[in-house]
Amino acid sequence: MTMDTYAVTPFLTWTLAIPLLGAAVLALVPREHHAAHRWLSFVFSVVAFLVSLSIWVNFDASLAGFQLVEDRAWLPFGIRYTLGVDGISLLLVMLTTFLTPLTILGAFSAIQNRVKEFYIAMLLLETSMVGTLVALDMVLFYVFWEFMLIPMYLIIGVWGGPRRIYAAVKFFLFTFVGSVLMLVGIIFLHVKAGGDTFSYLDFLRLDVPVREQMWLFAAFGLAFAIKVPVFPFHTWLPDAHVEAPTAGSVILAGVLLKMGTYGFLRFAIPLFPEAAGAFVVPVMVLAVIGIVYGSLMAYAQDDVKKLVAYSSVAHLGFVMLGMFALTTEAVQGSLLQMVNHGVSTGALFLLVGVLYERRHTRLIDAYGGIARPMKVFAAILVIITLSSIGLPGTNGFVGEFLILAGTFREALSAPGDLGAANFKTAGVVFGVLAASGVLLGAVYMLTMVRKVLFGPITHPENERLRDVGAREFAVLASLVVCVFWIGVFPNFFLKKTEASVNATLKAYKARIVEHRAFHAVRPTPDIARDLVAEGEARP
Amino acid sequence: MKDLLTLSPLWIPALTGVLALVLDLLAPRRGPRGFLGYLVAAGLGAAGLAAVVLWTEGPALEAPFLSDVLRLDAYAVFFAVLVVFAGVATSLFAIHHLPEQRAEHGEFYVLLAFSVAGALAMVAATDLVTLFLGLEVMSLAVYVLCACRKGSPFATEAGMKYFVLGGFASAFLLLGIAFLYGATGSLNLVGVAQALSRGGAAGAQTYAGVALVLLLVAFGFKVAAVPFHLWTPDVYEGAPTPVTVFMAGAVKAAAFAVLGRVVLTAFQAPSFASLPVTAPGAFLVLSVVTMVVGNVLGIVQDNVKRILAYSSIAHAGYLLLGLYAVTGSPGALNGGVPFYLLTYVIATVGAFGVLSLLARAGVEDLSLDRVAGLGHRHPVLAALLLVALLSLAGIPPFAGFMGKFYLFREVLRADPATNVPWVVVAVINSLVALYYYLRIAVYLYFRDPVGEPAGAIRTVPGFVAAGVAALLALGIGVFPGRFIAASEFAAARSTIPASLAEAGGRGGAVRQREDRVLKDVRPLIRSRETLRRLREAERRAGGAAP
Repeated sequence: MTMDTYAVTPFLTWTLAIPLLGAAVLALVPREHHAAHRWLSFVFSVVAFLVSLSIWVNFDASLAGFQLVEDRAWLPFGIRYTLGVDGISLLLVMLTTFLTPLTILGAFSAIQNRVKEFYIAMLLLETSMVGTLVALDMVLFYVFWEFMLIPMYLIIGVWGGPRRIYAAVKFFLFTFVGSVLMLVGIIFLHVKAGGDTFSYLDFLRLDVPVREQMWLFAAFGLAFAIKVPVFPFHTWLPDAHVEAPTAGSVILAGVLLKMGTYGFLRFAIPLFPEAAGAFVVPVMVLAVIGIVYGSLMAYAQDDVKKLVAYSSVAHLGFVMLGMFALTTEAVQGSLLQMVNHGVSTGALFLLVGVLYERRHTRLIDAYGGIARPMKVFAAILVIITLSSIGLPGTNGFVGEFLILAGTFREALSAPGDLGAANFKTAGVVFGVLAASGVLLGAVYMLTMVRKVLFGPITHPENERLRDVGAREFAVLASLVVCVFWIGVFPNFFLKKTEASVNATLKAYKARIVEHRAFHAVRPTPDIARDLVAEGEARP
Repeated sequence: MKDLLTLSPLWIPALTGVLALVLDLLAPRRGPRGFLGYLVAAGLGAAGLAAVVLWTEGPALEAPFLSDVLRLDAYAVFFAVLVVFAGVATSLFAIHHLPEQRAEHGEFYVLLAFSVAGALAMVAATDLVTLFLGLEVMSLAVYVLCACRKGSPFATEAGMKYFVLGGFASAFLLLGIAFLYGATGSLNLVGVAQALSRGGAAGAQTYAGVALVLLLVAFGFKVAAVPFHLWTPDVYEGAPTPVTVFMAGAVKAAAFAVLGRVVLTAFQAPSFASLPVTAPGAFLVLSVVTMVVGNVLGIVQDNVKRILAYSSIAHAGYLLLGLYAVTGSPGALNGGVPFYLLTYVIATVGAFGVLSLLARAGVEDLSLDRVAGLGHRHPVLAALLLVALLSLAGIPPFAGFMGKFYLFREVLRADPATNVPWVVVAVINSLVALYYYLRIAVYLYFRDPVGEPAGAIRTVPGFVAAGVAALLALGIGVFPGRFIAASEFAAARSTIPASLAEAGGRGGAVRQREDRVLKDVRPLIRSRETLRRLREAERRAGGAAP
């Protein structure tokens, strides 16, 4: 990876600074003016989105390296303020700046107490999320990564449901556990690199012995796996989602979880390629377990929000599977699936929020037949559900198809092709199991839709439910537009990612080849014995 | 005259104490004593200012006379500023805290000033007897300060406990000094170092090893390292909270400064490595035990003051890890330990300081249930406490994060392969610590008080001190560059150059290191005038050398 273009106009810094500025402005407005806080934070997040559009426009899809790079000295020890965006982070940056204003708009009626603090927290969260995605200095990245926890912790802990304190503390401690070990890994790499740089690009050039790579991959991987969350580390997620307010859930599912998968693709795989190669099978096993287990758990829930939360575990299992298949299609599919999951799960959480605001319950049994009073709501819910289960024409289809196609292609390709070692037969099994996960997804989502929307109205208070209002419709409709846009014209998005994904995979495979070649020329014990015998035979 | 000026950080606090004593006698017998607080704060502030001015004078800091006994070099000045900061804050917090607790005595401020004077003499000492005197002046005053709430059994218990155990520690220190004198025939740190590196009399190394253990016990007590920590939670809890600010901030900083200097200067002889007890080994064991015990016991406490007392024990553990890493090889300290102490002192002064303001109307019970809901009742105080806690927990962008980051970096750099497990132990410990810091935050913001909530004192000086601490915790976290450079500069002078005692000039190796550091910090020194003086001093030093 290289730094390809330097920023003429610091759009990345602006995208970071505008929400921060917004938070500062909000802090100065007296707390009684609720409407002012709501609209100001919305306006600031929209401006941030508009600025980020110019990142999109100025992004050259033909370049693989980092673009719009800004690089300034910041702290001693070679810590720099380095920002840059490439095909891997671009879509996620756009997703963040796109979802934040929608979430803020969606929270207008739900958040009634401590309004000022809520929107300050949302704007700080946006800055830290974008910062995590565009930081190219490992310390800068770590600072944003950790700081992200504080606003989210407050959002869950202050505006959440009845068990919010438990959920908030669990969320904080779980995600912090992984991160501090990653910090040790970062400092270790820094010392290895000569003790005067924390630059991501310098770390990429390091030649770390495989034994150390294993430990470092474990340290980084744990931080990211908890964030994703990969199967055994997922227990904080249902708690956090159920207790968080709607806006918190949308951001959590839409963006925060992607930080984990992004971390794998940006840091864990390119920095420690040999270790990543060795970890392919275990990670894929966990990913497939996540898909099947998440789907089954989702099916068993009677709380809509918990159902959506478990469906996230399954969807991110797909993302992990595609990423560790390490083919261009699969990785691009994973990237697109991250965005898809942000859009469709974000929309699902918003829809659950709409129901909750009207009935103050999220139990599936409390609903039934509400398609009649809430016609627009029902239409949107059906569309989003179809996108979530991957119906052709919607965004979910493209992502899942690419992931499965990439996984199978890698597994079924001619022998001798590169990629992960000993992956051939296992890959087919994983592909089949994951494909069955798509079916399971259809089962639990459609069951939920049937129980909530259709059938007779069993609760009389559901007879006169208010349909979505103009504000809610605006939020949901923009997500529906995205569903079809990505579903019908995926190339519009995919082509921005192609060069960077190819370059990353190429670098990865080159390292693996080098590694194998190195081990191939070393004499095996047999050859060594023969050589010794030969030597002895000679006079 | 110049010498007097150079030593001003040492005598200004003492003079302030005397002045306060006289004014206390002259003032009406039962009248208020708050003005003494302002006076002492101003006096200590002046001492701090003098220290900062001395700092900008560049490397030629040591006073020519008394150079055998006292040495106000950058290392001493750095810690003097920390001690003075904690002292000023203590005095400002006390101004309205003491009347509210019905414990207002003029002696409080007098003793505080003397205690600071003692601590400053201690960090500037190069001679073991001076060191002991400084330590005793500091400690004796603090014993009394702990018990200054006469009616309270807790305060009396705290004073008594601290006094008895502190007396023990002093005895250990004296015995250690005696052994060292017996082994080397010198009381001067440089003299000790030279004697030890020459080998000395038969068995001298062994006696010196015993002396090292005795000194570690004594300083372990002062810095509250496990297993010498047993007094800490009770005394921190029972003492009036401003005194806790002083103990957790100034006393700990001064004790660490001296510990680093003594061990790095006197116990670095190569022949020392063969003894059963070596400095790095002892530091490592102490460090790991201290971290683990401090943090684990911190989890189960229900009183905010006790939680922070255990947190302060745990922080001593991280610092000992920093000392472990540097004592592994001969040479000076790196900036990690001083910078960590800087961030720790600021955050701990902020945290205990805010607690000292929650002491309305005589009662001083800071159980979690009583501070619950502070975020609603006093948003500003709660925010100041939260900043201090987040900094102590080491969460970016606060200073504590940079402190931990820098310290762990230096530990890893010292020996990348063998030190990784210890750094992992330390970060896992900081995770455990995060739990109890978050627990306080949860009570502050998410819970309602049980029983009567803790009331806040209305006090301008207290708020100013807590606010400055919070601002520093944030500011140093975001722009640590200058502070890190200063820490490195000070740390490079942690060992006293051996040639100083003999020839009065600087040795070649030390000078080279100073030149290197000078090169690093020069861009950071803005003032032309300072730069000119610096160059001049350098030239003179260069000319004196052969």
